[in-house]
Amino acid sequence: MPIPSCRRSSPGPRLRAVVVAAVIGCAALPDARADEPVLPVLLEATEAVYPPEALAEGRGGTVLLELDVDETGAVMDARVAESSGDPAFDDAALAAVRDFRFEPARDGLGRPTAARIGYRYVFEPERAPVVSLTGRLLQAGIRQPLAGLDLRLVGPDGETRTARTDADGAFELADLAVGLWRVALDARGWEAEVAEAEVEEGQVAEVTLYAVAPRPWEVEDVDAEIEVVARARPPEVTERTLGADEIRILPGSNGDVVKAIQNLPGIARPPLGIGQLIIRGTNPEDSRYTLDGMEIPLVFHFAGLSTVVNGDLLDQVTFLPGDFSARYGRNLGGRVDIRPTRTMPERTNGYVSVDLFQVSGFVEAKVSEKTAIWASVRRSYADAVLTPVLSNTDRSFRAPRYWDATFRVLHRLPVGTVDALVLFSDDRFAALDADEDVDEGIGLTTTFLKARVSWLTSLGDRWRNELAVLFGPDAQTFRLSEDEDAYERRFAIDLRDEVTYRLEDGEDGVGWRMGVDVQTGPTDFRYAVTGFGPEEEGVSTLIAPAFYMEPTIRRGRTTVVPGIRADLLAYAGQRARFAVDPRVAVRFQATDSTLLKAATGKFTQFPTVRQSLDPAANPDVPLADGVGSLRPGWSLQSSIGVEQGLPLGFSVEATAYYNRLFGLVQGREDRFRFFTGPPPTGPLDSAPYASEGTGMICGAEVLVKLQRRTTTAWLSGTFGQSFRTQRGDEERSLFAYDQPVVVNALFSQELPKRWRIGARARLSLGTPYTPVVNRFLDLDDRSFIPVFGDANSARLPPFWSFDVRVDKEWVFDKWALTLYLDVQNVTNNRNVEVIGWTEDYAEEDGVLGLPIVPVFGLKGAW
Amino acid sequence: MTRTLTTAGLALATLVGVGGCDDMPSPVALIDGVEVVWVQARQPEVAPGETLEITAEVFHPEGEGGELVVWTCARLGPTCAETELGLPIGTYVHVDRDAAFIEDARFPIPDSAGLFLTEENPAATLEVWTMFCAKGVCDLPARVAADPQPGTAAYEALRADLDNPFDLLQGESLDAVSVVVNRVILSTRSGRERNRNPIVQVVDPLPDRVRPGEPVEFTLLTDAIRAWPAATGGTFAFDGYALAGGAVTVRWTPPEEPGDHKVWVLFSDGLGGVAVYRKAKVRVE
Repeated sequence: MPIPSCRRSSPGPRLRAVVVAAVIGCAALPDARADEPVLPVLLEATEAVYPPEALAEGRGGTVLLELDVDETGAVMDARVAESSGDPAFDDAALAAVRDFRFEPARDGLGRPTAARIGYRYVFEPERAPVVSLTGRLLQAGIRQPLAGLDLRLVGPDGETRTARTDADGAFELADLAVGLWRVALDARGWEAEVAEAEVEEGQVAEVTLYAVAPRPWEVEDVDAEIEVVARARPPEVTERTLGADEIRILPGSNGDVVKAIQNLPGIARPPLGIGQLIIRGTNPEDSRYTLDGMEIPLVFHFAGLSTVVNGDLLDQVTFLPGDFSARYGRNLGGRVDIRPTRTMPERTNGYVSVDLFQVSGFVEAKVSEKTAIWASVRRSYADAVLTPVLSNTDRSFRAPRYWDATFRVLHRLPVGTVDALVLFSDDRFAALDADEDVDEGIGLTTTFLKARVSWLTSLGDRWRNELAVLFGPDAQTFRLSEDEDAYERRFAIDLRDEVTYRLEDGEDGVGWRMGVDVQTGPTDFRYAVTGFGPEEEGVSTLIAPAFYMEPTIRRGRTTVVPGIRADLLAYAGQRARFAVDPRVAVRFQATDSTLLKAATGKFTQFPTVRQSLDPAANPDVPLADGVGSLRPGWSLQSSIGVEQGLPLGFSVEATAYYNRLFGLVQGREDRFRFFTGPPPTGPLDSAPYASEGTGMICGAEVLVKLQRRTTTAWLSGTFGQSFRTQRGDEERSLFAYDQPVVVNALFSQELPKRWRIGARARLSLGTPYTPVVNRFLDLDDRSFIPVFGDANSARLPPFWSFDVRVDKEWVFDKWALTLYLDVQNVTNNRNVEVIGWTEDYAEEDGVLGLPIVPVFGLKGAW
Repeated sequence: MTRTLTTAGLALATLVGVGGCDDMPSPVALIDGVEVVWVQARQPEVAPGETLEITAEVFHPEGEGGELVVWTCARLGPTCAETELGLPIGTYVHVDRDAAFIEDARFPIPDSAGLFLTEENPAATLEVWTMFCAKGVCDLPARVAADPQPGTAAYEALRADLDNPFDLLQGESLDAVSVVVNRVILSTRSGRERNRNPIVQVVDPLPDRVRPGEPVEFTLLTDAIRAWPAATGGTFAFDGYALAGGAVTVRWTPPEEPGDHKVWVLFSDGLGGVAVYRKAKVRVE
């Protein structure tokens, strides 16, 4: 067997192999930090067939191989770098390593990445020794096998032996003297109690050690002979990716993977801290949330409580604030893509987690060498905590209650990897009279069930195809009374097929990405709530195919990524709308640490079904004139930026952007928005829909990052302005969510004894609002009617908050316990979040944000 | 997480208009500034050829009086039809006391208004706007008092302002001004079919003298469907009452400080009909 050499083996010639790089680096692999590239770890090795002739002659040999390991851990290619001198050894070694499977290498951000490593295969004909002692070394708490760590054994007469664990954390020693042997871990930073094993004649003693992982600064630097092949750069000028591990420690986000995105530049702070994302001065409704690139109805539970997918299922969250690749379309705002991990678990893990508002359970299991499953269930009990608080004498509240469940199967086939995932999410919130049943009161619900199946296969050298389909029903409903309700219900089917040809890093040439992106499915909606506007309802079926193509042209330090996307969208019975969006991105690697980048392109967003529905198809429904003649809204987005690496772990990224918006759909505003924000202030546009809105957005984003072994710190700033002109003849006004300055500073520090502290400071200028300049009293119902001033001509006071977080972890042999305290708004600053007025509109009386809020949580993992 | 949970509650509370209870008097119930307290049409439903007669009560605690303007907006089309109908541009009244009744501001409805009423649309809404300003605060009263004649630029400008109260009020002061609107019906129905003002009878009257901070109750009998109490001081148990006809018992807690106060209960039938129970002087001692 390959490493280590002391594994139990059958009698016969013994093979030894050494990974040139990995042998040195293994000591640090199990807990290597995300800021250093991590080597592939050998998981499955196939024993080479010893050349019979050489065996008969008692000859040995050593072959130095060069292996290309892809981001899934498979060996994509193998070459002989240094021959043994005997082609039989070379061929046998090559044949064996092609079936090897590795834990993939990880880049500096902790993402799986392709890597090229050296691997030394040693053929050594020896007599098989008699095994005396076997054992396993597991990481305490999570029982993860620890590979490549050294053990020191001391025998009854003082004899000292050493061993090294293999990929399964196993080790064995042969020909030990009879008696008591003491087994100690000899790896810097790792802690394990000394184990004892009684070796007897003719018996194999067994021992298991549990080692507590070192903190990152307790291990030596990795010094590996490894060439990490960088992940092919995305075509986007600005792609910000957060690894799941990185997100969990950030203060102020309660470990939620997508909420952490809100700290990045490009995102304005939403009113009341709810979960909507206001990206580069665009409407929350103009941004999209995707699972592996395909849309899901929402990414946050009600009002941003938490992400709808358990973060432990995710490998990374990617945030694209704008100017994104041609592979994405149909929206004018940004995109947030959550991507499940593609790494197979090595064993069964799980945990139960409890905090102030939710309980969650999570299990991942390796069913076979080629199959793994994940399952997660979460249920909030915020309703039990908050319902008594929110209820008053007039009306009883049922506070938000949500639950979600995810089940996933990953199976590797000879022709690729099949990944099936089912996601269910349900949110409910109700306000009802004390004697009413919950189904009779005022209520909001969002429910969806989505199944996603993807098939990733290699089409040969560098060509790859990924086919994915996501389908299932979703519904959002609002119920005011028995006769007044609003809903949108869909059965959405998303299908994507993408073919890529990857350029190696630094290689000149042309890479390709092309694919189809189809959305289809029936939709029905109804808006019948008095006071929200005229009644509207309709039924239709959407068909929206798109094709995109995006070559990557690289020559020297310059990479140009032109792309084009053609979209067609039609609702049944209507004429189709068509859009062609050309885009181009350019990157210039000025120096090893300086990257300049720029992009421009056209982006299209089609009218919604509610806006689009043709009145001719629904003659009984009073729809506005002009419906069906709406054009797609579009924007021209441009950005230019620089990424600069700096000494001491610092890096800086700065991007300036300028967007123009055209043909935005205006009209028929109402005060009902499905969970996207507080009701708008000011007079509503009740005129018929029309593609008359325009806008201008400009600004700059800066992200300064410090990433060291024990320290993570960010300083993100977004500086910009966003304007809209609602109708052609109206004056330009500030966008309702415009925030000229948003600054977030985060800091997280590892401490000894498994303590971690973090802090976050946030400062943002307030959002605009339309002031009330006068009012009159309607005597018929004795209510005051406001007279509004110029649209969005006033601004809320600045928002300021300081949050802190403390984590403490206790590691036991077979499980670990984590306790955290996340305190938001430590300074108890009372920020005005949403403008309001006294009943007579004589004075402003804004809704204040929460005071200081401590949140405790604990998590037991095994 | 906690922040957003509470946010959800706040958002829904905003959405459904649920407010908490506190001891602060409602601004609708507390008459403590320059106020138009109530406006009543003698006939809440008038016909072409008849005259709309408006009665109102205003209050100014500083005792300096003010200026009052009453004007109408006949919603016979997308805009006010006063110009087409030849209705008076408005009524101006100078008030030199702290409180006053403005009786019978008169708006003759020409027969031509009947041309706008059809069998399909036999009735229209006639808005009655009333503005009461402290002295020297508004310029509208002076413009109305000048009584510009039709065809003049001053008339056109004034009419445009009166037809668009939202625009008009953007330029007026928020303080020391009270603007109210109520609606009556313009129809061709016969007198027997027309709406009338509700009737109010006192069952259990409000005493002339009450003790500071000590709640008192009084009961009124009415055929109105809604009632709102108001006073120049103190608080009420409820800001408004939904009635199905019958009795309403109002609970008023006088202020802690001795003094004289006025108390009203205003009734509406939801169709323009208005009635008022009024206690001009209640001594708190």
